[in-house]
Amino acid sequence: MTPSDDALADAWRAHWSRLIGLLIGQFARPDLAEDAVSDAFESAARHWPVDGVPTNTGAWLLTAARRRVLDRLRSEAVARRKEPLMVVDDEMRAAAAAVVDPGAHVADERLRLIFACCHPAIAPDDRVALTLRFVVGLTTTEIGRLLLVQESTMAARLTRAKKRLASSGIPFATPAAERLDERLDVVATVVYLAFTSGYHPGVGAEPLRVDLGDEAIRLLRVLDSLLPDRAVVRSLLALLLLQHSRRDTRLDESGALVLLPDQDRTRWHRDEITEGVALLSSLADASRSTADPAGHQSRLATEYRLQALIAAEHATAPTAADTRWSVIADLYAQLEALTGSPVVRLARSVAVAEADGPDAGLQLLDGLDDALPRHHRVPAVRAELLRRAGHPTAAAAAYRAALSLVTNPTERTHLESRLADLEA
Amino acid sequence: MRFLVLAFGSANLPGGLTLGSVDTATSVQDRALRDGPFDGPASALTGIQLLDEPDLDAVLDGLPAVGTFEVRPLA
Repeated sequence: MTPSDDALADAWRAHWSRLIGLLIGQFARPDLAEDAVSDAFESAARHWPVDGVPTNTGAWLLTAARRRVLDRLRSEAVARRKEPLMVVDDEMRAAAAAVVDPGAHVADERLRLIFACCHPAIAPDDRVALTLRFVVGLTTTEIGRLLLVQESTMAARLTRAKKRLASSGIPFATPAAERLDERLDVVATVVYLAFTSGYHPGVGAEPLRVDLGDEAIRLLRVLDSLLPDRAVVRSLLALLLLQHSRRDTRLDESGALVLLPDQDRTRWHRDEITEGVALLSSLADASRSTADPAGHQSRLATEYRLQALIAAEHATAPTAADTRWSVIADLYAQLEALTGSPVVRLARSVAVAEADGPDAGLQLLDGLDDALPRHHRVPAVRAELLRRAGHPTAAAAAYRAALSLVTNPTERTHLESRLADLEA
Repeated sequence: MRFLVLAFGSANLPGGLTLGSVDTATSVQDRALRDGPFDGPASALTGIQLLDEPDLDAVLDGLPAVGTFEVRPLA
């Protein structure tokens, strides 16, 4: 990396979403804002290595991007085209137009941008795609790869979503106080989907330019700083930090899956675990205190908090053998009661098997084949528990059932090697 | 008697109101939102209301809690 590459990467992280937000704020045109900011970064990539990195990269990019929007608006005026404008209040337009240095500016428009991209009137899949493009700044190619959609399809979907943003009446605004928690839940769902999509990138994908886990965490930190003390944001931040702390140990050098008990715990990111656990205890304090007037804690916030508590149990166990499985089994029982999800029941069966033996786990699997008929993990877990309970023939049959359903090559390899061990 | 004329497809009513394209529509069923137009039969139409509101959220807030609606800006 040359100094200008570094400067470009830093500027992209610091300014992408702010610039998009400022330009939408000023011109009310999401399509033009996106094109102009892309062009400004392309222009920076050409000019900075030759002319040197400007002192204020944000101001440089903002000036370049604004000029680009104005050029486009002029040519539209000449062609007498009238494009729909997004709903932006006059005060915001004036404030955005007056900004010179995006770095020194209070990033109110970033919050507006997040809420607009995650508006419930936008289709759920499109919310994720729009957020990855406008807020995180990924390219259409990258988003297509992450969400397992062909690039041309993704481009068409983004175009449609941008048009919708501009013309369906969705406001470029932070929701009113009485609607904020409900809308924040939608935002949190989008961020979590973006995070998990980073963990199953497409088959044969090239390495991504960015780590989506880092980006999702960064986005939550922005939300937490702009809207402090929201349970759903803090719970999800804790959950993502704890899950992400294990990222370096999930695959071995050949790319094969390494299961939790076999991961090298010395390579887990301790600072992130510490932060996640601290967030969880601050949430526990908040929910105990009667000072919370609304006493409001959305179901989603509770769900994320329970998941984070489970992740924290794993992350803080000194060795796999020290894992407090009965605590985890109890947390899964709470989570299942809350969500009624068969996927949670599946995870609970694993924890119960660890705490009380394989037979107890197998009992919880009853009925799950109907609830999750195409899910390879149901027979995979059954196979594992049957093996431990001393039924190798039934276990082998269950491994074969799992292999007939699995699509992910990494998990296929894993199941094949388990079956081979059993038959050896 | 007062009458309402609805135009479909590429029909154009001179002097009438023109709706935004179906891409701009938001459907609402018992408060749950979906992007796109109402996908039931046109004969199910039972009423219309013209509103001046600053944005989609303001319109949605004013809708009854129960029932199926489609909200579309005018072109």
